[in-house]
Amino acid sequence: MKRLLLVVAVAVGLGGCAQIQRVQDAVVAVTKSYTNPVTRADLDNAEGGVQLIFTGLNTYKRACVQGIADKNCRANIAAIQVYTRKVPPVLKELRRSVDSGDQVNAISVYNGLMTIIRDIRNEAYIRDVKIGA
Amino acid sequence: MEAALALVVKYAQYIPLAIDAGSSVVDAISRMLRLAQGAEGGTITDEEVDLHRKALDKLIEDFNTPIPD
Repeated sequence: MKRLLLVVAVAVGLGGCAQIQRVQDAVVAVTKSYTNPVTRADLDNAEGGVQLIFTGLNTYKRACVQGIADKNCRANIAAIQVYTRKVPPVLKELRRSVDSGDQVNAISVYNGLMTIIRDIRNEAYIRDVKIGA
Repeated sequence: MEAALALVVKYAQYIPLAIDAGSSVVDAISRMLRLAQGAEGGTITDEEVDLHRKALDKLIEDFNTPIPD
C-alpha cells in the first residue's frame, strides 16, 4: 500500500512538474532580453506569458477566497499584488508602442514588462505560490 | 492540417477569457475559430485583437482587486 502511494505521489509530482515547466518555459520566453525590434509576435508571446501567470494567480486567489488555500494566502496575494498592479499601465503602453511602430519606446517598455514579470515570479516563488498549478 | 490544428489549440486558450469578459460560450468559440482562421490566412481584425486584449485586461484586473474581508 505504501509503495502504491509513493508511486502515485511521484506520478502526481511529475505531472505537476510538467505543468510548472510549461509555465516556466513560456515565462522564460517572455523574459528574454530584447535588443531587436519588438514585433507583434513578440507582443503576442508576452501577453501569452502574462495570461498564463495571471491564470495561475487567479486560481490561487479563488482558493484563498474559498478558504481552501494556505493560511498565509491573503498576505501572499497582497505581496504579489504590489508587482501585478504595475502590469496594466505598462502593458497598455507596450501595445500602443507596438501598434504605432514606436520601436524606441517599445523596446524600453518591453524590457520593463519583463522585469515586472520576473519580480512577480520571484515573489510567488519566495512565498511558495504555485502559479503553474 | 497540422498547422490549422496548432492555431486552433493556440487560440482555444482565449475561450475562457472571452467568457469571463462577458461573451457566451458559443460566441467565444466562434470568435476563437475566426481568430484561428484569420491567423492562418494572415488576417486578424482589429476587433479581434481588441477582444483578446480586453479579456486579458479583465484577467489581470480580477487578480489585482483586493480580496473581500
